[in-house]
Amino acid sequence: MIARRRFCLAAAISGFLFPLFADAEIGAADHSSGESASHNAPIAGKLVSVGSDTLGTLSSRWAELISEQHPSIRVQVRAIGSSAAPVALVEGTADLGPMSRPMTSAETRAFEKRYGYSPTAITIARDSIAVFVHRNNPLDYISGNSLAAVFSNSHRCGRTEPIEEWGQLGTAGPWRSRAINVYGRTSSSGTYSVFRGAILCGGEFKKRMNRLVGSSAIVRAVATDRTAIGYASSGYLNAGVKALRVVDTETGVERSLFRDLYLYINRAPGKALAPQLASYLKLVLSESGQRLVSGVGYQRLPTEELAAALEKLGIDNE
Amino acid sequence: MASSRSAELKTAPLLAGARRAEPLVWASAGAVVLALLLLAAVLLLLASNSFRYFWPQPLVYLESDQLGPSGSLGIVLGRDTGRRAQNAQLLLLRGAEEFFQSPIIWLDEDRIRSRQQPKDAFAVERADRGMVFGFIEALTVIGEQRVLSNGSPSQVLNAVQNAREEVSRLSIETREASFYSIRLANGQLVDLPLADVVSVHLPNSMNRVEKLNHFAAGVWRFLSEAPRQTNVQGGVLPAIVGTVTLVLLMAIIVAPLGVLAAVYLSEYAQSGILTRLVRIAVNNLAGVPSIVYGVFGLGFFVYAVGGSIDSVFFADKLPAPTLGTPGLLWAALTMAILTLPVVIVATEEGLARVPKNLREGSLALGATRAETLWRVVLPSAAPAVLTGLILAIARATGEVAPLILVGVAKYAPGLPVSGEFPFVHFDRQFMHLGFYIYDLGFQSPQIDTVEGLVYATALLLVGIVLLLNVAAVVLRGRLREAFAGEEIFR
Amino acid sequence: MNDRSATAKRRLLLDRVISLLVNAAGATIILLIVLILAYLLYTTLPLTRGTAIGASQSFSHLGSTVFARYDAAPWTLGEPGAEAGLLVSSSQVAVRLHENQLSVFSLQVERESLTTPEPVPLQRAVLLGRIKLDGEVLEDTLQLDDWEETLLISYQHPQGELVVLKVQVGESAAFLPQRWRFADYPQDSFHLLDASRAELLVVGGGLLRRIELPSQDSSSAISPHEHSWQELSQRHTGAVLPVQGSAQAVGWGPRRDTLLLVDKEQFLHRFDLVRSASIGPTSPMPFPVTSIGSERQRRVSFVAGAAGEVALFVPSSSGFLLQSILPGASGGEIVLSDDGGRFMQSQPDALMTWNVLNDYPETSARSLWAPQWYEAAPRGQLEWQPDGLAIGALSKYSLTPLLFGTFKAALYGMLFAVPLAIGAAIYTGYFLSTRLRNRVKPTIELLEAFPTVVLGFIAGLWLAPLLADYLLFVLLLPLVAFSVPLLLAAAHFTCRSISPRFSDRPPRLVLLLIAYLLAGVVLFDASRPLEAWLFTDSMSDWLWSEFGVHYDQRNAILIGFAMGIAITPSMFSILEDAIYAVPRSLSDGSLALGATRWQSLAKVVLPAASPALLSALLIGVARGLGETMIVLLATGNSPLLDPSPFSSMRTISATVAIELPEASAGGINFRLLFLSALVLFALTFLFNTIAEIYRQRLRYTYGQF
Repeated sequence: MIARRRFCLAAAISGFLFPLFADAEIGAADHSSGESASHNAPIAGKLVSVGSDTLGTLSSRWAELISEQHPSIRVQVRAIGSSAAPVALVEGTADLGPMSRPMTSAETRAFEKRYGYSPTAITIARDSIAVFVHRNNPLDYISGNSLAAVFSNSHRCGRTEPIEEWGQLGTAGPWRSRAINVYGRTSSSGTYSVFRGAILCGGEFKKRMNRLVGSSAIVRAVATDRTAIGYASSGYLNAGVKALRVVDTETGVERSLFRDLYLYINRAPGKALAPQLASYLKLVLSESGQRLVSGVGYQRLPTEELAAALEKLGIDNE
Repeated sequence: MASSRSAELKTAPLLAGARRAEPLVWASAGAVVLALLLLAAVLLLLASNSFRYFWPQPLVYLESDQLGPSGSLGIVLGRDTGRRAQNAQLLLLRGAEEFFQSPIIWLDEDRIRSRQQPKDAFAVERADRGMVFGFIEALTVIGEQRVLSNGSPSQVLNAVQNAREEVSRLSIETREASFYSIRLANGQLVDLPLADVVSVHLPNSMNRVEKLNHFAAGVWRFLSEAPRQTNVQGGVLPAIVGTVTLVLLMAIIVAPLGVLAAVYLSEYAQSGILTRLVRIAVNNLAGVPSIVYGVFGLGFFVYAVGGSIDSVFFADKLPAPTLGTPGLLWAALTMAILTLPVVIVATEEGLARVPKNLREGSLALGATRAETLWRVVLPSAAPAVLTGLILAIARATGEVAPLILVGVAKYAPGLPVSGEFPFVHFDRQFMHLGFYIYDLGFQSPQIDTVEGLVYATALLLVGIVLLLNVAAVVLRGRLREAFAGEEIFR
Repeated sequence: MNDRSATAKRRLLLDRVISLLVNAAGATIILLIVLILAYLLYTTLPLTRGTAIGASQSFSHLGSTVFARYDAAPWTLGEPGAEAGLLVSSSQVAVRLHENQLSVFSLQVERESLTTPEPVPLQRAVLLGRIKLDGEVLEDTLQLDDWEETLLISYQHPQGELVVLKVQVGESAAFLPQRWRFADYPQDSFHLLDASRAELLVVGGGLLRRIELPSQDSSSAISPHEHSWQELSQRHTGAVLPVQGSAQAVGWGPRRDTLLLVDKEQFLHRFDLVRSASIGPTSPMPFPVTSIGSERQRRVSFVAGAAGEVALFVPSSSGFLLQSILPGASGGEIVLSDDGGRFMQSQPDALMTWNVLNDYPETSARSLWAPQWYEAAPRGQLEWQPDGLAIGALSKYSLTPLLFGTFKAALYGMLFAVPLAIGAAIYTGYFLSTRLRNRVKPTIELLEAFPTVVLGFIAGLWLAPLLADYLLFVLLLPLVAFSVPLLLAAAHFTCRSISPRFSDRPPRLVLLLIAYLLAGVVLFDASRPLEAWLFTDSMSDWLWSEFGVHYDQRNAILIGFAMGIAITPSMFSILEDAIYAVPRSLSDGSLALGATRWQSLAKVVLPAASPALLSALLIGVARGLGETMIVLLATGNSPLLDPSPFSSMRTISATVAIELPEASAGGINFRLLFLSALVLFALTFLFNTIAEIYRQRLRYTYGQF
């Protein structure tokens, strides 16, 4: 009995030392696989994607698709928020940086400072941001200025009274004296930044806004909170909520909030892309890759734009 | 003392009576009941929602003013009882997301004209784009039409299932020409590929046994398959494997250190400032919030240590990181620090229960301290070590916060364990059951359709952790019993 | 013999090695905690690094060299004969005025061709185009400003007329400037160009005129947008502004959200361009100011004097980051680059730059915790808005709301957990039979087994909507939890006084279980109609319309509930152990003296176990402070300072989990998040250590029996 226990203990202790050796072995293995990848026909390798949560679903779909086509390419997807992408690219902890907004000049400069060249941006899809309320809310449209006053107290788009009640937006009946509960994303999200720029004119969101960790959490919260208003990518809308039409305050013309969705990569000028990266990009910009785009509720890019992007990247499109 | 109390009894008989009724005893018993009720309620909530997800739900055909002339076929997911100003509404999952605007729909109850459960309604689960509900009317296998118009629903079901088997053996090109024609609730007849079918069943004409079969098959697919369609369908196998690999690796790291530290505290340490410091350190390690470990892991392991390893050993691969990115190894190390006090405390408790006379006997026979430790003390305390490890594993299984920072991924198809050398891939990111819940519940589109999956995953996670805890309790009880008689001699 | 001694040696050696290993393991534990603390400190400490002037650099000036104001990089104009004429530069554009002609140069590296990490000294500027002017120009009145592809140029004619030009300098620039003329421009005014808003700001004659430049080239349609100083000063709630046209220097505030003005008495005034009001108290400058300005991305402003004096400060905060005299400065204007990296000055024969070491200007101990006078707000604020950089806005870093939220979440959790844990511990540890106790205790401790991500998910997605619908029910729950046992006690008492047949020890747990379930069902069914009857529709709407109380779906009650489940088991465990460990002989003695069971518990057992009570409370709070997943998933993460049970909160732990993955290593946000992790670490360290001291006291107490 005691002997058996001792064996267990010995196994446990030898297990402690194991990772040290295993570590060294990985190094050797990775070196050899890196070399063989460039020689042999099947493309292999690991790609890490860090970035937008809005693009998280799409990135995962592409990752699924590429592992079907090239089983030895593994793509890992971390969907934290758009602001994570430039950080990960600069730190070198990611190969792909999907972003739901363009990089700011500060982020570009941080990259340039580290590598001496600019990050390469590839537009991969289009998206519209939707403003929505509970499905039983009587409101159908909202003006841009009212929207800003609902979400912000900064008045950067012109001074307005702060809007706290549904009655101030013109709803009648019991809705008149109901408070507005405001829902938005956490600051890492590109949706947050685009909405802040376009609707709030760069102003700050109200402190009281609920900042939720995912777009679907917002849709869910609005679908279950009668007095809520929120915004998210329109790909996340479902029957539980009602999308509001946003009209221009002065002209009354309907506004649509379109934005490009990007994929940022680290591409040294004059150097060829790593084969696994090239085949991933080729897939993203291919017909089947773009079909997934419309599958998750975004708008696919026109064919000529895809071809132009491939040409710019130096990937031959056959 | 006693006299003053009896005087009190005389002056305030009512109060005394109230005291004898022991209201506070009742209240404290109430707290016990509430705590047990909470436990039961959470478990029940998880279990019932998971059960609903796997158990075939009846397909309901609804006709409503809201839908126009045609009805809608689907599963009732929930009900909103409404306020005075508003009527109750039903949440219907109607599937076939490419043909309807939204796969779910809310229907006002008072506008529903009729409600029935057609016996011949099929529910088809597809590999892509969710469920389809409708009436299968025709079948085409490799371009050859098989007429089904006269068959009973169960015959149709058999035919479809056979055809599906056939098609799955075909090459990818020939699969294209095989499809089934299904009439949706809005009257539209659509052709859908057979190769896409995961399972097909007739929920409204199934008996108990068939339902149980379907349930078991669903549970099995949940446990054994990889997720599809960005985690909203399919199973959680990679998350299970990721979680298990993580905790095993962590256990391998934490076991020796934890046991040695416990041995130090219980056997080697003289009572002095150093020992007190170690005790304070252990207690504080146990109390430090897990997110702080995550911060430390990200900053120290990933950026500092991993970054340096990369720049020395994998410089040729930079800027693509090898170990300077969140991954399995760093997550396991972080978790090991997090669970270290659990192992130490449990082991120390076990060591303290080993009777002193055992040690003294061994030393008296001329064994060195190390030999006594190795051959006498540790074997007797082995169940305590195991208890500690199990508790540590339980803790690490349920912990998500540090993993958000040091290595978990939304989607990572390559399992961290594989047949390829070196079998365990320390640099890979991995999926984790706890993070899967977070991701699925808060970030997947169409949360209403995946809610059941989230509950099932949560139940699985809770089940694993509960089982581990129960195992630890049982083991600990055994240890106590083993030395219960000998404690007299201490 | 030899063999045996060799064996003995080996045994001794092994003994030593094991002993060494064991001691090393003990030391490792201390090292680990020191390492964590040291690493957090190491990452945090640079935040306290002061501001300093670094090395200076000089570039010989051949009349054709100019600074890009963005980063103070020197550029040379790549055309022959460029020495002649006047050179003026803005952020990334330079303009040369020569013979009534303006040549416009770009001071921007072409992104595609950029290959070296650091800009080489004296890069060549690219000529973008030329503009013919229509009359003589007063040379020292030439000003320009650029923003993205818009360039504004202004100059004055000798007659006093002010001309403003607007040019688009993009790739397909047609170079047809739009022109505006201001014939009645007052001579003693200052003006500032703002290309980002296409505006002209004129300060003078006691007025701040904000003039929008219309985008069409119909140059007649100028809409001046006037404010008088008087008007502005009356809106201000604090001190009256002593500015009657005596401005000495005027410049932009950070990111051009404010206007900074130094008057003749060297007092600084700030004007909010968003709210059209002045902000905060005025403060004196340490020397006669000749130029004033700010960085574009951070809340840093500078003033400079004629003799090379410079000072850096954060306008929303008080005090100076730095006061210094630049060595080797001459009489010209000293300017801080837009990115805050360097001071620069154009001297007659050279361009001088001085590096500024100022990595973390906005994180003084005061600004992190005390209210700050930000723009666009009527009073001092405590705000956590660290995301500015990502969208080109200014950030606000106050840790106070986060700390407040952290404690709020923990305390609401305690409100729920404390009665539950104490009650359950007392009943399990004192009243239950040992056999039953050994079953019940581990079962309650299983509550700990719920991963907090599961609790957070249930609270955030399932409970939150339900809570809003059954608010009255939830608010009545504590009442039910207390009144049901009391009612049962009364019933039991009545029954016993009627007939002595009733047991002295009724099956309390079973009776209570039934009673609770019944009460729960009845109340649940009754609460909606009751709520509708009491509050016309729903209680949350009633709270708002009657009291103006915001009901957030994800509020403190919800957190209290979920957090309570997470905290209860560890508190219960400590307390129960302590109560159970109090020797039975103590309470038996008191019972023998005629005390009731509750009395002997309250007067004898609980005092003996009281250190554990305190220890349990502290550990409960510490657990609540650090809990992450529940608050991440079930709060609204809104950084409020509102103790209301119906409002949301943002905790340190959730903030770290949300923001750390996107914070760039070494950046200000990264270090601040490490600081908040350090605060969390310190708090829990404190609480746990006190708790441990009390627990040790408890061990000592029992030692006596």
